[in-house]
Amino acid sequence: MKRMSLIVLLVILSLTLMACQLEFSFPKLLQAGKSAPTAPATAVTEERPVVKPTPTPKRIVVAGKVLDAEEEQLLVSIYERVNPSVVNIRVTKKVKLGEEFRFPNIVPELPFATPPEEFFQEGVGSGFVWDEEGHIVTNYHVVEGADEVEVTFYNGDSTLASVVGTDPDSDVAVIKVDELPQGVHPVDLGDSDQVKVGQRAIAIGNPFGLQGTMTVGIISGLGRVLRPGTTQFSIPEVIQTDAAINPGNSGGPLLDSQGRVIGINTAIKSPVRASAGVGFAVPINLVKKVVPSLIERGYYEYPWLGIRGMSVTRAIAEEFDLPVKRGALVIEVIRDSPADKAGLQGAKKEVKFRGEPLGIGGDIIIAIDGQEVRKFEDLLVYLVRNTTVGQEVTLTVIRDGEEKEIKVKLGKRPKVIKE
Amino acid sequence: MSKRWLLLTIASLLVLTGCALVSGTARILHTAISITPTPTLVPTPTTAPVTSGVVDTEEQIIINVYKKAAPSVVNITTRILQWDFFFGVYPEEGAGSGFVYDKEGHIVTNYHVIEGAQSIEVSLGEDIVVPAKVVGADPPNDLAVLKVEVPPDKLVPVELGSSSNLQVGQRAIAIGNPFGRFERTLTVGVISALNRTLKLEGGRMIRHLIQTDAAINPGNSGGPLLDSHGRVIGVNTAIVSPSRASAGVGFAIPVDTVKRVVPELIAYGRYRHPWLGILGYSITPGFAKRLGLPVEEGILVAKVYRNSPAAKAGIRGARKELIIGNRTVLVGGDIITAIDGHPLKSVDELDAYLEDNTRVGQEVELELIRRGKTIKIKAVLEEEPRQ
Repeated sequence: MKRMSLIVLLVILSLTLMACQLEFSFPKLLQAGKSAPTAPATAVTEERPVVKPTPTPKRIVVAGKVLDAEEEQLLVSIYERVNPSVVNIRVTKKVKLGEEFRFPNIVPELPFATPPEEFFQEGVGSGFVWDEEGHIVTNYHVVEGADEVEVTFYNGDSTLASVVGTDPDSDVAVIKVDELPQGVHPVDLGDSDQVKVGQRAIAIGNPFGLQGTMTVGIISGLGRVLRPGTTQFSIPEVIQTDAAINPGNSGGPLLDSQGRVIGINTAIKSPVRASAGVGFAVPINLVKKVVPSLIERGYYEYPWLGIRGMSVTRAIAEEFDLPVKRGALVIEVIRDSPADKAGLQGAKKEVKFRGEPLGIGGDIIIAIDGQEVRKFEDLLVYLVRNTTVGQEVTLTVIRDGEEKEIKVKLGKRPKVIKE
Repeated sequence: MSKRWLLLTIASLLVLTGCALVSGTARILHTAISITPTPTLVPTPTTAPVTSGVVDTEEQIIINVYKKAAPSVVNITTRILQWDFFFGVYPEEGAGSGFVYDKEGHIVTNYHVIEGAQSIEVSLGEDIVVPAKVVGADPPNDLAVLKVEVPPDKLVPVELGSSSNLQVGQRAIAIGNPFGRFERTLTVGVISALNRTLKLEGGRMIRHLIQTDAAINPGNSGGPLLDSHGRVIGVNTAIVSPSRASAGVGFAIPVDTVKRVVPELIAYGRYRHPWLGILGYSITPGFAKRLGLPVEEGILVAKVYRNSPAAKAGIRGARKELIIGNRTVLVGGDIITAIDGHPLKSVDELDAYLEDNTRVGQEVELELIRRGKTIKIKAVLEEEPRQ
């Protein structure tokens, strides 16, 4: 009976569906396709009790249920407190036929056999409420190219959102809804500089379209560098976690054991499009810098040096008899960039190193403003953390075996660097 | 491609009907890979309790759960005869998990673990490998009960918990036989969400599922999901993953369903699903507008089965056909808006209510709209006929 009624339904209502065709597309990173709203999870409390890892007795009674030990109770209360701040984001993109693919015309008897001129692609991500004005933070790749952004809150309320600002370089975007439902509050922000490997990491999001999913693990690594794929620049100080992060989790918060946001779940490393226990989150301290600018101006300006290069490794230093064993080797100086104007020098010749071409003979940066540069990422980290556009930095470089100080007035990072 | 189309369309239809559903089918966890029967590993008897200070409280809780529940978890190996054009009939082995339900030797597992099996073997550990026979099965709830002939002193029944007051964030502990090769494997996570509805391979809808990030893999099917007291809260059944391995998104049938279904499987060999005997359309605002219906949600009865409880109660099906677009809609029947005072939005909600809240022989009160007037009708539910 159930199956028959389903088929009857299918036939009858297929007419009403013409406008919206769900197709699974996987543009990049963690966007999930073809999902449907899921049952609202558990009841969530209205107030937001401040959760502290309270020194609790061994047995706690919650809603008549005896729970063991503090850890379990802690996670339950974090979910109750934070889940209302997490949203499901559904984006629709108009795609012209030919740009993606065409449905084969193999079911001529059905009314939808004739493909429409353009159809809609759907993607699903997560996000979290930033402030009482209705700003919601998510990943740039979740809302990239969206024609329509729909936000669904934990209680099932849904509303359209507008994109306020985007920053492809950190993969962060801010969207806005006119009004937050009652009981929905901004998240508490943590401090990603204080995060330590081994500490608990909790993700709440929308994996495979399953809204309100909590997954728990630990911080597996810190200081990872992530290249989002939407940009030529990398994100420094990315947090690695083994909490299950899957397509659809993108843009959702990674929390510490106080329920404070320490990162935005953004990417995974896996041979399949599913968690293999290696997930990455953009650190909240970078997000804290970027988001106010996105709200105010719609974009974020990064200070820019204008070099390409790589880390000096022991193997490279020995092979080419470099004067230092650590540092950032400049391979290319972008023309008219701040580094170019300050006179930094790129590679003078190309050699083969382990079968790969490598430009050597350029400056080796060993410090910036007195801070040691041991690998190329250190430059990126320093610039993103400590500097602004227009600021002057002092680079300590090794050129032709001699140490030299070069002052560079930082410029504005361009959207695209021409190859 | 057409199959995929259909699937996607069904998914979107269900969205329209207001039903909570995860689109795409979930994977059932039966391992159909041919494997050599693994030698029964003896769970090493833990000797002295671990001294405190070495192991913290959290760890000790998990250790205690394993000690308590692992002896109840069994390994199920099935033999299914497959037919192949080149090789003719050949046996294929499958593996799953299960747990001891009582001292009489009843074992609970998933239906899909033993579906189509010619022979079933159950390994209880300690070198007890015995044949098992199927006592009863309920495909819609993906549950089955097996029976083994084993002296009661060798059987350690599980302690059943309750799934009605679970909370997201609570610990979830799975014991099972992942990949059919590693029996009594312990995996630990949390409850990630509650009350999920999934459509499994084969089109079966399962409701009220518990979602967990404890690693659930093929072969875990039928094994218990436990709380931090070692009580069964669910039966691990499905995963959502693009590969055939855990992505941290696993699903368990809640133990309250087990408590409802298993006693009937033991007593009757089947679960007697209450049945009303109608076919209908779920009403959506668009559907209501096109047909000029007085309500925007509810069930428009299209057909009433002869001699069904609905027929005996006088519920009326469609009186005429209407062409909308190029499809025929059966209209003019009663509109069901509530059952026992619970408002109904869709056929799915009616199915869910009957399944969860009623028994065969029970009387239900239906609220109907007939010719614009609201009336109430009582019907006595019967067992759903097998086709």
